[in-house]
Amino acid sequence: MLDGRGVAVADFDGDGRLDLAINNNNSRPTIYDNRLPAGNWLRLELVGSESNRDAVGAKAQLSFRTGDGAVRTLTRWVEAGSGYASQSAFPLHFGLGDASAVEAVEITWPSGRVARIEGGDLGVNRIVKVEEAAGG
Amino acid sequence: MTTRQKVSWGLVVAPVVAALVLVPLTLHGMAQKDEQHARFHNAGKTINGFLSSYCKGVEAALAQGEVSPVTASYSRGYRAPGRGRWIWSLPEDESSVAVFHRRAEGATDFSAAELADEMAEYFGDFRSVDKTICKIDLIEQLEIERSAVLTVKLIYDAVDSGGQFFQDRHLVRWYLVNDAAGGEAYDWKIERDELVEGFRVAGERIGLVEVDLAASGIDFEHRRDPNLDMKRFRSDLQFGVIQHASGGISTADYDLDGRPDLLFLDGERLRLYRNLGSTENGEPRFADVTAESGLDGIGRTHVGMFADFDNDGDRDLFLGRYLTPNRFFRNDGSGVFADASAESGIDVTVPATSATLLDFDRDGFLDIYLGVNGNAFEALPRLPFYAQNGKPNRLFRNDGGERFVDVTEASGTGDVGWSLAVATGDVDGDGWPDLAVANDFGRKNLYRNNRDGTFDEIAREAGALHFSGGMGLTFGDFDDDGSVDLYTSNINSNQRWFGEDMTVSQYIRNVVRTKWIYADVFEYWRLYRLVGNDWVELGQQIGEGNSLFRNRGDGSFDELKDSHTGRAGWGWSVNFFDVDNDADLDLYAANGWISNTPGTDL
Repeated sequence: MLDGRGVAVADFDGDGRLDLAINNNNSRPTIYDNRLPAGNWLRLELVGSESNRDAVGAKAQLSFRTGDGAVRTLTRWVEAGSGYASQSAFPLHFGLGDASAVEAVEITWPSGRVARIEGGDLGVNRIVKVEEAAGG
Repeated sequence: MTTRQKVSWGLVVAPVVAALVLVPLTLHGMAQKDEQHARFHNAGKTINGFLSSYCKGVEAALAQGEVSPVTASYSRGYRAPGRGRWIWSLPEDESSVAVFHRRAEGATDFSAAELADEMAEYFGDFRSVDKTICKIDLIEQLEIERSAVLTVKLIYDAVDSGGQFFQDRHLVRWYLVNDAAGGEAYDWKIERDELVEGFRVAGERIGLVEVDLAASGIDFEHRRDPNLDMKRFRSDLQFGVIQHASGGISTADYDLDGRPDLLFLDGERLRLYRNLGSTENGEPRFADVTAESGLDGIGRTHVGMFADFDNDGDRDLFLGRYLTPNRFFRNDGSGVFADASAESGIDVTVPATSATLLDFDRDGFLDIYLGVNGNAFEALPRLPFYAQNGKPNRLFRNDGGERFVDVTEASGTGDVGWSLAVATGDVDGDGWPDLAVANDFGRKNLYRNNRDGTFDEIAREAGALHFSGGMGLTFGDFDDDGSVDLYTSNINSNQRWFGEDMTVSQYIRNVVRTKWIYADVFEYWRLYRLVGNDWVELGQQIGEGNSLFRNRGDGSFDELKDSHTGRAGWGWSVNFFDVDNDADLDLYAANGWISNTPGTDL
């Protein structure tokens, strides 16, 4: 039995599903390729300007409509360093289930700036790079 | 005598004078207590032996096709009043797996014959078993040499008659009786049993597929720090267990080609692998770039953090190391790292275990909070539940991307526990990042950012104190209310009975005998002020396992005790992430993931 320590989460093979890499004490690591049947997704890569460039501390709130028409809002934060001595990928990954569109994303940058992006421009199952605008 | 005997611990944790009174009291009758303690431990050992023979019985039963090797663990006098027959519910489908719950049907009394019948039906559905785990969860009562009541975890990885993989996890309460004929000998048998909870996860093993490392280009194998080898340094090394702690990992796109790369840390030689993109079959491929990236030959690293510390458009690298100077490398923009340790200001020598990045002063430059353990050559953790003789954690302020300045003291973040994990989250939602610390042999610390460069420690007020062997921390909003929740991994399983009265009393006697009680009296006093004098309750909390704290929305927390997240095993790293893109944050905790089903608390 392996003695797992740090765990890093990222989409290593670029298929839209988050995979896992685990460092095991005194043995070989384990990498799990996620092949679960999975829903739609959207990934946000945030680039700070006034804020730190990796946007660590930024909060993104993404809303979408669920099957019954209700609006659901997910909140994620950019972080670096958690778990046990582990760092996972910077981009914010949002699973969307069956939803094929996003209503809107609101980003609160570490600088305090708030930016709102309407969903029509975003699509799903892709990576969207968002830069902190100089004006707001 | 039973372990439930109550002793007035209030005396112990009361101030100095009371401690002085206690010493002669405790010395009196110490020999007798020591003997009881030895018998208690011996009983525990024999129960562990009984559990491993139970697991072997399960394997033998499946090999032989009949259940007598299992039923042999039950007493001839087995009788379970009101037990009912254990049956499976209809499955709930979650992703590609089906989840069945087991429950007791009816409240009929159960006899040995009915038990054998139920077992035959249960194991009759197994084609083969890959792995069996039989472990003590908690010893609830123990009459040495006579009887015991305990909860037990039974976990089987198996294949059913239709060829499908499944895992059964049962938590059962066993009433054990010693059937041996007198004397000190043990022959434990189950006299009665109750189902606490049980579930089966069944499905094709298509979910998380283990990658063939050789094919994917990863030849790293973790090695411990040779300087912490107990066999070689036994005489100097007081806390040799620390060699088992290493094993950090980081992923970031260090070369900005859009693909997440991988950094493995260990005691001998860290390795950086560049992600080359996936094969036609969708398997990830990597190449070892340790040497060409300028990172060859670096050992004793516990943690690595990639980030653009100087905001010049590429990701630099910080390495936190164990009792050897930390390192700092600047990325030259082409994926080659130049050693800038000497002028970085962060090349201090501390027993670093973990790190988290935050911009605590919101100046646009990422600062580093370093989790620091104790010095294993100088000390053991003193007070196994509230060790305060570790080295202080360190907060380094990043000044304009030029250098790091140690602001630990001014910021008030120098936790002196034996820290294993640190994490950042905006707990109170004010836009200023706060800090959480998990201490081994200790408590959680929560540092609220006061927006002026200082922090206040608020774990107790926020409801997140939680004493336990803390090993991992992760923040995430699992209930979609917009506030960060906290999941921590802690020591679990049979370590928990260190918290029992008998063991606590043995500990106290040792503390008195070694005179440590005099050295630590202020720690006891602080502990008393934090939790009062119910040390047995405290002992129960230690080793309860992982814990999930729900943010009330104002930066204070409720611990969710019944969220099925506690028994993930001996947890190190933990992560919130959405494994199946269903929009619910799931949890991955070292030895397995726990799925968050819509409308439930995980």
